[in-house]
Amino acid sequence: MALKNNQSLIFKALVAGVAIAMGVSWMHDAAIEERVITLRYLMLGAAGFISFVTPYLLFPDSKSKLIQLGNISGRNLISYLFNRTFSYYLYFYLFILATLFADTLSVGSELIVKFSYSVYALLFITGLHSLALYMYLKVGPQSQYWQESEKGKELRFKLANYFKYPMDPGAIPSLVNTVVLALFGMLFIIIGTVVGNSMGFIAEAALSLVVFLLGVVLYIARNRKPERKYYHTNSFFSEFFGASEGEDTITARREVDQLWWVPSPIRVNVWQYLQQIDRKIPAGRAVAAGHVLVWLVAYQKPDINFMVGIWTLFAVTHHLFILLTMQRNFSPHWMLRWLSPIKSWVFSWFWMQVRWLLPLVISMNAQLFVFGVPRGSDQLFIIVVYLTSAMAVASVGGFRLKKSIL
Amino acid sequence: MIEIKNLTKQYKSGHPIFSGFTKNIKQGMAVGVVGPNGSGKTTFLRILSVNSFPTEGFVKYKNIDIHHQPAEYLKYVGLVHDEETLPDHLTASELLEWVLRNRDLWDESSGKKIEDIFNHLSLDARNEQIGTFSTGMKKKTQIAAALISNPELLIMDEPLRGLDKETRIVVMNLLKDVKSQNTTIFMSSHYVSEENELFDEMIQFPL
Repeated sequence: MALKNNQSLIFKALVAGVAIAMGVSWMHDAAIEERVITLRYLMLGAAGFISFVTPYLLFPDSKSKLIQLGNISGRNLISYLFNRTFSYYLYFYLFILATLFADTLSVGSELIVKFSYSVYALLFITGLHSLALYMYLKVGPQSQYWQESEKGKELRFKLANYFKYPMDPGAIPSLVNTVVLALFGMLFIIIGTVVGNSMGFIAEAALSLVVFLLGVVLYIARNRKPERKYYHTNSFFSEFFGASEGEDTITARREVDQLWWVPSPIRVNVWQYLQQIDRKIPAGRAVAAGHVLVWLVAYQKPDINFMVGIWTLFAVTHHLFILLTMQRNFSPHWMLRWLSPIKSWVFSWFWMQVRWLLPLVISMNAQLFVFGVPRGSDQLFIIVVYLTSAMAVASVGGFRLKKSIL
Repeated sequence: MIEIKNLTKQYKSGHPIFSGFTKNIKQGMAVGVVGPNGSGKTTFLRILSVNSFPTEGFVKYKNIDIHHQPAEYLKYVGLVHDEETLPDHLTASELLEWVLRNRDLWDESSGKKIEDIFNHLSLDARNEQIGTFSTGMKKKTQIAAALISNPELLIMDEPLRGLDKETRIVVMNLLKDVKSQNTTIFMSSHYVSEENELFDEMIQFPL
């Protein structure tokens, strides 16, 4: 019971509602061909997202002490880890269902095709998610070796001196996993598309069964005693995120006054969040990967409205950073209330997101120059959505903070 | 002065933790909050730190109703909370910098002030992330964060828990210094014998 997700029902319903509303408003009048193409792009995005984000969602596990207390092991531990991360993807799956089935032009048309692709999406997401769990669960020993060994020390020295890139060698096994998983997932979508175009939608949907079986079989059958891997990997990530900062990292060098773009009353609040985010996950790399994905989609030269939809979706996705900083281990409620009024925190969460605005605008304009999309009016729309959704998510944080007073 | 009037708190109707509690505490007094587990000490201190709202009654500090104007009130307050929850991914030094800047108290000497208080508390790992700290280290960080802004009112829920005897003595000496600067202190603890000379008054729970 204590291991269950403690999000309130209202919060779950709100996120589910937003996911469905976004899907409906985007694709409600689209033809079936457009829906299928959209789904394939979304699966490409999902492959990148699942590959990148899984270790950060899992480790370090704030509930590891409860796991020890209850000595959760074997199948129960496997199931706990699966549910811990899969609950996030369920909202994404709801969004996919909305893009497939919400049809204001002909509600009951092409139901078999829509159903097949909904199964395809479910199998693919579940399979790749399981595969990611399998690969990241066992990453601890290799990561520790690279982080603590003489060989790793040499590598750190080389990276710092030759490439001027302050990267910890302990992060390399995870990086390799991310690349392998993302390439595997994306390649599979491309092969599936070729199969689908030549042999029909059922063949494409059936192909996703391979990813599903591979992921589930490896995760369950090759994980009979997952405890050791869990404790080893969890301990590595706990130590890594605790001890990896040093003189050579960006977070150690960042001063409060460098954040000139933040109004002075909330500058220090924004500063401490940026410090925390950048130590928890490589946020810059995550956003850059998102831009690469959007450019990959643009390279296919899809319909203008579709591209605007992709940009809008990407813009809103940035606000996962706000949700991250709302966690108790980033924002102890008592401390937030002690230091600043609630409205100050709402603005801090909002303003924190301004740092991604310039890359967003530059990337959109570069794409306008290369591919002719998104146009000026579309960019304005995307920026307005970006800012209003940032304020909406930040307000949810303010509401939660207010509600936490007994 | 802190004025507590007809203070009642209940989580369920008909089951008050305490009811109708009234008391005035003069500025500069040190008040021990004592009693067995589950007797309402933490609830009382949570109300004083605006982390809980009373069912009835009010608390005023400098004529500010603390639950009506919490931000105004909290400017004067230093807190050591019962939980050790602190931002995992900040270093202890950064946490104190955040507190000082937030209260517009940051100046050229602040860096040294932070070093001094950590030296005093023997927290060597001040530039490591709080998420890696032991319970005692987190407690030291909380105490340093509460004291760094020279609060006029200090509210502490078991600040000595998790500290070794040597550090407890250091903290008690720090608190005596703080008290000598006319700071009001509310503090709950199980180590009453060590604190007898600090307290001017005791509030015994259950009320």
